[in-house]
Amino acid sequence: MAEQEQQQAPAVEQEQAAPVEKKGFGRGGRGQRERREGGAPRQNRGPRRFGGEQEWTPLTKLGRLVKAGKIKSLETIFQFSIPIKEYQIVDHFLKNLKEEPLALGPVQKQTCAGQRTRFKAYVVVGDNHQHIGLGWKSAKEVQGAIKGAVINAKLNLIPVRKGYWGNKIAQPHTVPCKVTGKEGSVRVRLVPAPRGTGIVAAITSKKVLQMAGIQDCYTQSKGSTRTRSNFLKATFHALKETYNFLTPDLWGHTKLESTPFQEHSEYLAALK
Amino acid sequence: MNNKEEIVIGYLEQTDDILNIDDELPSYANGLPYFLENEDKFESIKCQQCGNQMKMLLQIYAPLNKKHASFREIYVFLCLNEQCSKNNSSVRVFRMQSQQKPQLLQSKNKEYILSPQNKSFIIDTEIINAKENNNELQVAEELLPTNFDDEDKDVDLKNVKFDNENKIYENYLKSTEEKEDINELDGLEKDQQNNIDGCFLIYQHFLTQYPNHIVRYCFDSQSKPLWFSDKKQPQIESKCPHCKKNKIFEFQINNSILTYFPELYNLEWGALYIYSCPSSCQVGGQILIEETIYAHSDEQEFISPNLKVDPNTKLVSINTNKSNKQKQQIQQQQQQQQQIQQKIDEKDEEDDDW
Repeated sequence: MAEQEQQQAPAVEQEQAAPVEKKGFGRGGRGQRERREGGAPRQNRGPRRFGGEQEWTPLTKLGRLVKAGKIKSLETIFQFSIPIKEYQIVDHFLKNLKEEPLALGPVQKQTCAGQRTRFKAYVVVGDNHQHIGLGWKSAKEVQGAIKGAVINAKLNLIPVRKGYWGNKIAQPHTVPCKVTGKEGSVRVRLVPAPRGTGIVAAITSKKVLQMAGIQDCYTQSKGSTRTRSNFLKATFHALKETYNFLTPDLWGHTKLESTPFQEHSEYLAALK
Repeated sequence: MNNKEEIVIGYLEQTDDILNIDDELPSYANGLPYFLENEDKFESIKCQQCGNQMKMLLQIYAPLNKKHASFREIYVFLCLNEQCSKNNSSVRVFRMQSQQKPQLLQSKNKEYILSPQNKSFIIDTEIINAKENNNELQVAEELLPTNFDDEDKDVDLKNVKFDNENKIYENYLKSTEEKEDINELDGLEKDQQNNIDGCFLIYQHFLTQYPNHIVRYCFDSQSKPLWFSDKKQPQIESKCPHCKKNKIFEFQINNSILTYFPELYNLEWGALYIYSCPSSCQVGGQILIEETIYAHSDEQEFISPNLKVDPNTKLVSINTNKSNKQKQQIQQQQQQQQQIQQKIDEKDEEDDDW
């Protein structure tokens, strides 16, 4: 009996002692750095804020190339249709981006416990020159909805092609050709206009066209344009079409260029 | 097993002396691996595609509360060959364990070093409360333009700064332009953004909240990994050859490790997910036990050799031994889910008719 007790006692002691001493992953180690002598303390993160002014560490290949400065402009990214997954890439290239909410309103959903109201925001982002993005988000607070919609808009950024109505003098000022965009039942048609006409459109699409940098344009719309979301999206799709249209000046042969990844992988391999 | 209420996060810290630590065994990256047994007892680790020797990315000390696994070390190896880098088999993970405190034997094979120019780094840990983690996850889903924000939840938005957005909102309210009737905004909640990768936005958010963290550890049967992207999320169904249990998620290695080692710049994956046997079996007397690792990449060119794409679903499953019955069961479950969704859609349409 005594022997058995003696045998049991050391086994119990070991198990009790074990959790106290061991650290590492799985037991939840504390910052061992603090105990070591002569080590610099880790940077204190402070209270965590959403987003905030923290430095951007890129997570995608494209992000890494952009941060290293290897890609000179957004047009390279658009040329090869590379999806933009990090909105900081857009911030890096376009410093003067303006954000403007176009529609802010409550939307409701029926639940077993009554109605749940959230706010939905449609935000248009543009540099008044040749880039435009449209984003939307619904959230419990208006400010949260605006925040999410801005990020969404930056990820949906597109280039806008401009052209001339008649004589090709000075800078392009209008849509290159008649383009149309549709969403739901709404059809929006953009027609080139002579210089000085201004934008002839409803308030909603006028804002979008202004931020895209188009100075003169006639528009025709059809369908239930009172549904703001569809009207905005239809205008946005119409602007997207400008670069999809094959005009005669694009008939010439173009040289095959290597994608930024191929071009810079050789440069990166040379680092090894 | 890890306490379910904690998630452990690992950072890289530069150090000169790796062995001068309070742990029994080291956790570190980039250097000669410290094996628990003499390395002559097993073959050097080679890539299955090209046959070259693989480099050690990191090793971590992950003990468990079990006697036979109280000294347990996990090694992650990868192959830097360019042709292999587009393939899942360019990464391999191994586990070594012992009951008593082992002797640390440093490998003499210099081919294991990943980046000879850099020094070695120690992996320093920080604990995160799982509830805080869940709350941050909900805040992220609420504020980022993901598609996951359909459920009702109480979100705590104390820590969020809205300065910029407040300005924008005030400008909008003050603007003297004609505003169309706000109530005309359609009551449709669901506006799908098809090309936005919601999982990636949440992943990016967590990497900015805990900047530069490399390892995210939560060894539990119910723990969910932080996926890198929406696409190609796998259903890992590999089983331990000894106890036949399904392997569970142990930890993940994030993309941020690439900032430390320029040799890794060309790699295609976004994050590595390591799955291991829940009871940490000693399989057949082997010294180095291989576990499952999944390299997550959102590019279509990236290949995983054991992948089986089920045409009915978007999920990709990694499994070697799967019987037909299980496949049928899964298909039935998916069909049931689809039927339930159809019924919900029909009900929504009925409500609109009022």
